[in-house]
Amino acid sequence: MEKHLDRVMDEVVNKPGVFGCVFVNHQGLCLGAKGKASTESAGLIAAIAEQAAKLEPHSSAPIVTLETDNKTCIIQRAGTITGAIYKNRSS
Amino acid sequence: MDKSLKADIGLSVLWSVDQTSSQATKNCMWRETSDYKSCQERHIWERWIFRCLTSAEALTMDRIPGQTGYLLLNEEGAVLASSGDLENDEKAAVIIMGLINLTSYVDKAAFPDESFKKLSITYDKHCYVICLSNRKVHVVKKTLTSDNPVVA
Repeated sequence: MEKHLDRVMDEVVNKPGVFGCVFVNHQGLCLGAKGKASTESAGLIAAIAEQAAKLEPHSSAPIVTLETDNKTCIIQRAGTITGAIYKNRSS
Repeated sequence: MDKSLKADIGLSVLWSVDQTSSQATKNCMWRETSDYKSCQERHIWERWIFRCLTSAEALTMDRIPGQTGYLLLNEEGAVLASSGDLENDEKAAVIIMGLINLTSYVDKAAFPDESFKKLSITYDKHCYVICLSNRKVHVVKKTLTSDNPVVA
């Protein structure tokens, strides 16, 4: 049942610079994680997307980007699914 | 210099603000503890210094290209300065403080021993950029143009 999602996650992780991804449903439950990513962060990722959306409730879902010195975490909600992609900043 | 501040403390002070950086205390005349006539005078002085530093930081944010508003918050989320689209926007301040608390540690496996330095919230034509510095939260709202894209 999750083959399609697995395929999508494989494609994402194979992109240059990407080292992990997590997909979460609207309740914060983890649908899948690939690469160097933890399923335990699912709830937080959903909460971050939901909190960011409150800033402008009438606009479409924003992209939340969290940056450290070397890495980036990009979170966006699309419909009922929230995705988080972890990338290295050099690429 | 803010004249009301001078009247507030009733002192003549020589100071200047380097507006290209945040060094509001660069030429500030500090007083020794023994010079204060009372605790109240010292309190007024320290409050004035704090306001200078906050003003300098707000001035810096005012000069960011493409910015349409900014917020300067303290560590508890109180608005210290605001301007433009974010003027007096306490609702945004509360939401942003909530976001900062959530993002302290997102994923230990992916980001071990690292905390985030910058948080961006990007929409189609504008974005909010948030960072922490000098024990304050700096929030800038910027328009996105082809010359000023946001790269993830």
